[in-house]
Amino acid sequence: MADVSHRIDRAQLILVSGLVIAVTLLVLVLLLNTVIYTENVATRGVGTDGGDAISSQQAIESELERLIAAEQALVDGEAAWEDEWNSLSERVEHGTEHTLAHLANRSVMRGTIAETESNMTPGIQANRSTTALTENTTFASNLTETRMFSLTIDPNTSDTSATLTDQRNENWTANISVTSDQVNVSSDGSELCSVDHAGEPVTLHAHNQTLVRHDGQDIDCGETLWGGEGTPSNEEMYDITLETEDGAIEIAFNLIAGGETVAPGEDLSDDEAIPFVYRLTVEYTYVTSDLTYETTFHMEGEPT
Amino acid sequence: MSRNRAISVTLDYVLMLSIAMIVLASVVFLSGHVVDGQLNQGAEEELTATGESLAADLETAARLTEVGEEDTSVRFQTDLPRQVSGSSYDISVRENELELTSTNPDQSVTVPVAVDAIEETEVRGGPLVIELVDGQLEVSER
Repeated sequence: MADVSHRIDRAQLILVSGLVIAVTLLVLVLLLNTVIYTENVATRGVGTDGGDAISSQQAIESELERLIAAEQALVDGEAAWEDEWNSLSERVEHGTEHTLAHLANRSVMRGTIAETESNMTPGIQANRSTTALTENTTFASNLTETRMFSLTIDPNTSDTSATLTDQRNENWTANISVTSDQVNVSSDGSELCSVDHAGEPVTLHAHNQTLVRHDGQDIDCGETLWGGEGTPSNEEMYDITLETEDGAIEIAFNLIAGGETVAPGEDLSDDEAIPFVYRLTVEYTYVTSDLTYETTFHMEGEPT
Repeated sequence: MSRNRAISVTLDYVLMLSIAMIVLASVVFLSGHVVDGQLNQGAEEELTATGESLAADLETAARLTEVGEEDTSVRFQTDLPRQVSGSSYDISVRENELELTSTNPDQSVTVPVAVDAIEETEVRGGPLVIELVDGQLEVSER
């Protein structure tokens, strides 16, 4: 009897233990399943496509900016403008094609598609130190964009005047007159700004509409000078010419501008007209199984 | 004299089984509560993970929009699960936040997203498309 009772007790113990273990396993399975599945959902679909597209674009920009700067540094302005530009554009085009082809190959190896198209806009820096101009002088032709346009007027020759004009379209003029004590800028008969020169050179920054004295004092000439209605813009090509009127006017000028068919004025010598890459435009497309990204970006060159 | 005198075998068995049943029922009842709690917590965690995945994709698309200069177009496909804890869910897209709501269990989570220019919309959870339209990101079902 005692033996039977002992066996019954043991059986009950085993039964209850089995039940407890079964329930414990059930709860553990549920807990772990939730944890594993949630971790799976959290890490699923974490792709790097967007980051790759951005880093690829930034790599292109960086490489091409370096290329443009390196090739521009080789321009010395000793040969004719057209020859210098042809040589520069050829080197930049070749370098751009090589860079973009290398990128395309690297993309294919990573299972992505990166397509690019590029277009270059030539630019000109036309500059001359202070000279007495007695005849009409065209600084540059076939412009569509002007980045900087500055004239330094030497008041040594007083009672003289000249007119800046876009010549080709005749929509815009700015008259500069020098008296014994002032430099005046006007347009269509209306005075825009004037300054006492005190015998020292005065600089007209047409591109940001200011007239600056030798001591740094600047006067706002308003949008009518540059930026308002009639101002040359990229809607149609223009030339910038200085037309002399009453005798010689002593000026220095610095023009940085661009256009598809830009050319220096006929009166400029080889070392007064420097070609540079005004803008390099790249149309960029990046495609993966999940992402399609297209954009157009620009790199601006600078003259040496 | 045996100490088992006057205790029948039948009563012994009945008592034993009754105690076992009570223990089993208690364990099952308590486990049920624990399981329910785990299901709810699991659903909440899944919704949060799904929402954060979508938020990361939206922020990537926004970053592409910022980096792009002219004529930029972005189309991004994202594969979210169609169900969470066995039931479907809806996503409310709003400026700077996403709200994910499931019906069974009844759960709602809000996930922040650092994107301002986004069109407010509601979509069903699952494969989605994020597209740049007129300067704003739009989320739609694929």
